[in-house]
Amino acid sequence: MTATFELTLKNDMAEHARLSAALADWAEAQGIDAGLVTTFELAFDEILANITSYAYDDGGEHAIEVTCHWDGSALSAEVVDDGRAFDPLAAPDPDLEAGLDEREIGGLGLFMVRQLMDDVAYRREDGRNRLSFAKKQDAA
Amino acid sequence: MEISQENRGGLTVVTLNGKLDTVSSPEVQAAVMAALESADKGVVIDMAEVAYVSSAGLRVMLIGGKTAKAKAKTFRIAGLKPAVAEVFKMSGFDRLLEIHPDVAAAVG
Repeated sequence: MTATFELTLKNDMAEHARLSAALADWAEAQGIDAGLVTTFELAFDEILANITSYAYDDGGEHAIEVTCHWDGSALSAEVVDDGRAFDPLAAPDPDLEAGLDEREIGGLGLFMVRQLMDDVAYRREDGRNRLSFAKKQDAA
Repeated sequence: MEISQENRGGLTVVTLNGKLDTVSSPEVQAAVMAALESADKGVVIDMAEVAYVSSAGLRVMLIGGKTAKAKAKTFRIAGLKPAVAEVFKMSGFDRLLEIHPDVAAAVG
């Protein structure tokens, strides 16, 4: 049995709280581990921050579609936006060895998403970015 | 995000309770910078009640660390939950910043 969660957001960071609350309610009803849900909440923060900051030039309102699936052992998600083409997997890794004075934050968020998830995939299709990611729940 | 602070022997302990993410980071940054300005010796960030930290939150800690260094003050982080400690480790921030198990260790 697969359970599905769907929510359409506006390109506004305030929407992250709405997504987090709705996702938490759905995940609790499915019995999904809270720690796994928190990991996804973090990933959504990074991905939505990236989209709302960089995907659009027109200053207008855009729809971002979020879908999650739970198959009983793994949680997966897809984020779809109609912003400019951007492959998060092609972004360079940050310099993790840089000292305090040289250290920069750029690229760190998407690096963290790649590290936190078991799988991350990107494709550009019909003028949309489709970023999907998944992580298995730790065995209890 | 709930932010409170108290003075512990010249160190200002800033206690965060909530999610340190893109939305909350600006107010946390303002609080950390104000504390660094007013503290005699430096600042301890108590993160025992922080559920998660995104890159926006790490950025605030980086700015705090850099600012403290420029002012010759201490900047310590205390009480990371395991999932948050994992984020500090994967980003290399555990080597950039002074991290203590809890506030008692950080002010001691």
